[in-house]
Amino acid sequence: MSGRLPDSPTQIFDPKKPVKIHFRGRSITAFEGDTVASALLAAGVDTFSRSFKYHRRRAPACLSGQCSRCTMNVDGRMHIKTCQTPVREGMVVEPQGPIAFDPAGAADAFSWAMPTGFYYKMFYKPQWFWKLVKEVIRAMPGNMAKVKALPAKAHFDSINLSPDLLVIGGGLAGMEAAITAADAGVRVVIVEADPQLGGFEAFQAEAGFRRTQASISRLAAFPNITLLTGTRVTAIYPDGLAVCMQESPSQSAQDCVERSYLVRAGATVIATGAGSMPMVFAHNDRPGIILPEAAQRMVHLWGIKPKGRVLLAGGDDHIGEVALALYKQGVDVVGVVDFREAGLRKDLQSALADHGIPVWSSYTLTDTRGRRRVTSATVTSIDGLQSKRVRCDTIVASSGRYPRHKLLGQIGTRMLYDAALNFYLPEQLPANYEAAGRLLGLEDPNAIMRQGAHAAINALKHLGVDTNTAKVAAVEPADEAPMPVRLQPVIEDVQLKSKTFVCYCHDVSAKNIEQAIDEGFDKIETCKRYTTATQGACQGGMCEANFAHLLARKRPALSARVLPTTRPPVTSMSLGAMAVGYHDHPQVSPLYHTQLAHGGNSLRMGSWIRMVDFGDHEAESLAVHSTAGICDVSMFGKFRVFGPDAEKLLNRIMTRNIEKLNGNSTFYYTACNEEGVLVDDGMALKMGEHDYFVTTTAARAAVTEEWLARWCREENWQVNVVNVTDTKAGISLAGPMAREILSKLTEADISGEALPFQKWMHMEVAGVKAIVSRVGFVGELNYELFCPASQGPYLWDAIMAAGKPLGLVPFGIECLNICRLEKGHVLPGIDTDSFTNLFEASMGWALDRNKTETVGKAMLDLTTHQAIKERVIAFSIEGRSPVTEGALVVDGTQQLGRVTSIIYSPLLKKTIGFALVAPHDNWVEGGTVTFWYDSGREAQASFAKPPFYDPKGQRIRM
Amino acid sequence: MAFLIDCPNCGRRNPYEFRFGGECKEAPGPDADLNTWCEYLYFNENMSGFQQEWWYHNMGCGDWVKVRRNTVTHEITED
Amino acid sequence: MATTKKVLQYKEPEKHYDVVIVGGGLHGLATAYYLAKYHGVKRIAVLERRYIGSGGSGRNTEMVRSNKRAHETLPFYKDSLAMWDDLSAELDWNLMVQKKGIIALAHSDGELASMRMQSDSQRRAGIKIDMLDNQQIKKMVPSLDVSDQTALPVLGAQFHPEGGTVHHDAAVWGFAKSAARCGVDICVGIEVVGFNVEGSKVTGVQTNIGDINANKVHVAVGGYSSEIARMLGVKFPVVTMPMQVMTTNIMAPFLNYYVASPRLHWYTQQTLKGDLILGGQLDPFSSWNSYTTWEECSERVATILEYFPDLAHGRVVRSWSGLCDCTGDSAPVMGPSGIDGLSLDIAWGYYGFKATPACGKYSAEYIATNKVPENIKAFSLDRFFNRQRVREVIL
Repeated sequence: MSGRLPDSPTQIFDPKKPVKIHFRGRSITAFEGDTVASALLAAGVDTFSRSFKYHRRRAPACLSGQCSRCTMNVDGRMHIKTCQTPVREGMVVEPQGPIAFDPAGAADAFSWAMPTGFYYKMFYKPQWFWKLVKEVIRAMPGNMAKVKALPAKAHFDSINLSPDLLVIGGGLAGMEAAITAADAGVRVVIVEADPQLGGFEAFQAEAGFRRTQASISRLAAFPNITLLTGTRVTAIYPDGLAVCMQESPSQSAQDCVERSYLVRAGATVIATGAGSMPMVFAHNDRPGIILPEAAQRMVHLWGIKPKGRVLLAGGDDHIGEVALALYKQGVDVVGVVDFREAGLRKDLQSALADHGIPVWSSYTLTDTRGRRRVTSATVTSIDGLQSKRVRCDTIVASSGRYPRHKLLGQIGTRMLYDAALNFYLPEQLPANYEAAGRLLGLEDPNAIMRQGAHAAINALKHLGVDTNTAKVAAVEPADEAPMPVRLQPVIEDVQLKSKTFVCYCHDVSAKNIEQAIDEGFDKIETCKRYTTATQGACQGGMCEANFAHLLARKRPALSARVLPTTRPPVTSMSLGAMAVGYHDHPQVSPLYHTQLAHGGNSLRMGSWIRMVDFGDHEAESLAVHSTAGICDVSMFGKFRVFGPDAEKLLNRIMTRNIEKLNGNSTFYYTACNEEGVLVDDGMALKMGEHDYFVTTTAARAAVTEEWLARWCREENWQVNVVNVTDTKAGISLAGPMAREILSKLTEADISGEALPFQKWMHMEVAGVKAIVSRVGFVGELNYELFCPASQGPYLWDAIMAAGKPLGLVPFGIECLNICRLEKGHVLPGIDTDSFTNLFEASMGWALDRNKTETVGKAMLDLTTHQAIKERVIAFSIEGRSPVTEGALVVDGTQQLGRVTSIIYSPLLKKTIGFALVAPHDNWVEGGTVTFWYDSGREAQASFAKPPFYDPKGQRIRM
Repeated sequence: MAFLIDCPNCGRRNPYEFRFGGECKEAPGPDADLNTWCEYLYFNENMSGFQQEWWYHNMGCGDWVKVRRNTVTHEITED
Repeated sequence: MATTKKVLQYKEPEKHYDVVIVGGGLHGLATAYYLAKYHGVKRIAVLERRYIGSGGSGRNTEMVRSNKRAHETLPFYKDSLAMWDDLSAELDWNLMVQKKGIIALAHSDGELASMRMQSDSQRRAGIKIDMLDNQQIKKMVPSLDVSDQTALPVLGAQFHPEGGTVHHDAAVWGFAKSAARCGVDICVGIEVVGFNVEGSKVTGVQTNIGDINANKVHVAVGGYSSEIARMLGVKFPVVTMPMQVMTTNIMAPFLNYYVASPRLHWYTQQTLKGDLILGGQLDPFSSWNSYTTWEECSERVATILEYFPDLAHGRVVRSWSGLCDCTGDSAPVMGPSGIDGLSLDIAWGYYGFKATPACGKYSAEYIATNKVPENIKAFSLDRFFNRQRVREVIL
């Protein structure tokens, strides 16, 4: 095993289990337990990606999922954080764009020409020049992913969890919280972003590792803890939903590429820890410049020796501890730079001195050199007077600790800057949220564990668990104060050069930020937008502290280190995983499959899949007029409305008077909203005392249910409204032969005397109990049958079998459309829009003027004598016409309205239709309707008075 | 802070289970003039803060509930 | 080369102005600019309580278009769209105007009819518009699934070649910079808390730092208009709702147009930077909180993925929302408020961004001349009382 340190007790990879992965056409041997990034680093890969603007070489800085420098294409998936992706046999890893030789890298040399916001100040004169330039700009960014389909088998899934307690973060604090809560008997989900538990403590050499192992084995004993590793909590939404994303959830099920866990917990402990802030110095982005946690992880977890001579730099004792630990693993440590005057703790100083490692206190880093990776650093005294170059191949640098606070921001908790500590601490958290661990600035492992337990106990109290009797050991909260962090002092002239990066994602330098402030962008929000700092893929995780620090230095009065707003997601989530829970469920009628078998052509229309036709809608319409047709009307909204106040309710919504409906009568009704706008129509059947069967248009059914419920609630009426839309199939049987067909199937007397137009009766048809009514929609003798949905297909087949010898044909909605236009039926929502009132719909006849309680009546009364704004008119054209729905109705330059329905009637040999138009003199018998359509073609029609067919309505009364 | 709607039948539920019915308004009386009606129909208090509003639990019990909600913080209180 | 010339300049407010504009968003800044530059008004203040462009101006999806339906409003939108072209040169600031073209997909015959009608209306108003069939769509957007395998298959589209995007922040800064150079005082951190009205005439505003007198006051506060209404003791015909938007990781250029599905309430475009903007639906309830929600984001992503299946491994990196004060007729309120000297530019819902130049131009004209310009007559507040609402229905 090349490139690895000797076996150590803290390693988490298994050198006996090799795994082969493919990188840029070559095969790399990794080991089980490796991440893609650790495998590549061990194999000596220096460059992982190119930067956004200048195409500078970039390699992982944090190895803990924070920075976005290690993102690559893994198995065809874009922008994968390789530092948190476990290796798998045969995995294909590709950088996104050229990394070895990148011609666009020339941009780096021209950065002087790209000051902040340069694109706002250039290229726009003349206009054609900008059109060229923008195409160049589009092709420029580094680390751009290609949009390519995933393998066909790839899929995403989603799991809902509702534990009592959600613990976010599997470090010492989180594990202790989970154990404490689980011990009290509640169900716990603990989520950790790394592939393994342990967090920060796991890579603090052997002592730390053993401490985490102890917690891990204690945790494993609880069956009521669900452990999700390799899972990032990307967001906590306003309703309390925590969305967790897990990549490649199962080693065996390779097809599932990302899974979401949607967690709704009773209480939540947030223990997301803290990370290191990068130091701000010139050329601080070169490969080989890493954060302390990256060095520690490499050495302790994966046995990877940081390359060559290693220089460390920082402003706290931790950097000294890291230096010692690296040295003990055989790393060539060439020095420690500490920007504090007092320097490192005495014991650390002497230990380092014992090993001959120089420590430069009151010094900081100001610059680096190197091409493929760093080769030397400039170390400068804080006063700026002394400077020297130190040869090194790796720099481990950090200016202090920074809380991973983004989830706190999402639950509405602001982070307040504590000037004494130089640390951001959360203000009061909402009820049922707790924070714990390094997130709060704690350092001592024992204090962290106690505080984790304490957070769990508070959470248990929220959950109503009696923490006195529960098996919970009494735990005192941590008494340790947060560790003060020294923010890096800045040596203006030498450190803030143009290549001193603050935002790595967008190549934003300290100089860029300074310039933006000078130009007047000195509010954090405007500065952030102008420079684009903190807006990259890392979500500001790496840069916002330094960004706020630099802004506060320049404008101390303006922004007391306010952090930018945090918005979901904290880390990116794939579109595929986000989309899993959403399903589009079109409705199908119970007669859907039966109709398909009869040759129906289906089409999705709104929420329903309906039959357009059965081959030839014109022939179908002729059959309806000459013999008979059968049509599925199951999609009508269907309601049973009964109870003592049923009449009050129906009189509220219907413009006609329900009390005029007697015996076994039915009537056609219309309904308006409070504006008097026509919104619905349908049939009402009186079933008995205070008992009605009501149909609505298909599109309106769901709204009708709410609408009825609203009035019942407002008025406290005693009415039951049962939506039977899905439980009843509806069949319309129409045509001169309809009675003969139906009589073959029923014993009931269906003669014109026994069951005349606008009456209904219960009867058995082919043994199926049905409500059969006489309606007039298609202009012929017409029965509407409603039966239990499950028996619908049988009834349809029975009617078809009985009717076929008599010429019965199935018909679809196109034919229905011909027939209703022949009869001049206006369809609400089709021939009218959300402004058309009942009068404008030419349906004033349907308004009972004496009934005051009708919804919309007041507005209709108040506007009765006002000039109408638009109205529905009918028109006809001899023969066929190329005019379609949507054609404009015009008079010269004046636009009067539009065609809402138009169709050719083979019976009338005319094209007929409706238009919704403004008032005009032409809307009289013999008047001309002029259409303007298809970019300026004109056609003419004659104004007409419907109905076009059987104006006296004799045929529907047969 | 949790944005949840109190349904008397189903408990605290996600707002997307409901259809928002708007702020509660008093309908004009029988003698109201056109201006009064237009104001009622088209104009809203549109409160940034607490307002009384209607919610219909369409993915739940199918009942309308009146809720007093703070439209800025989503806090819900008894009135 | 770099210039250290100040782009943004703020002032402390004076005690008296000819015109005070409430709201330092795009509409307010543009109005101030046109007033100063073209109407010679000398003493103008723009009062902003947070930072300029902090509301809807910085929270939109950068779309500019003029594909509304109601024919009486088309000249206004046409004007606005055309004005963007010359603004970069006029403001001496690259607004990154990209007239990339907007493709609006139709999923039913009804929608096709509606689009044909809309298109013909627009053509009659002199706006370029085309209808596309699926073959043409596929050629322009190869990654779009126009097969019959999607939930609601694509049946055709409307193409608006002159629609596109403008960089929203650039527009804010461009107007702010030019307004300041024309002598406008842009005052941030100044919150208007009330109005001084004498008789039927406005005389100034009350602010967190005291009264500021003004001959005329103009309200351009975006989604927050009802807060102004409460100060005036009136109501406006609006409901405030958030619109949520997401953006993704950076991808190589693959989408050259703005693609939208009005029926499924989504739109997407790829920015110059390479990320996708995803969004399109108002939240179904009123809210003054610019949160984002899982329900909306996941549904939006799902409906978009249905048509761009290759994007399944694309990654959402950020989401945000803006407040929209929406009227029932999808048209704004501009012009007189009913109080002398107080003018309105409100109720812009989710379509205020594209209208910026025309709003600035016509608001300025109205403030300067006291005559309602022809092109904004349809947007009067009175229309809600005299049944003249704009028939801007989307079918």
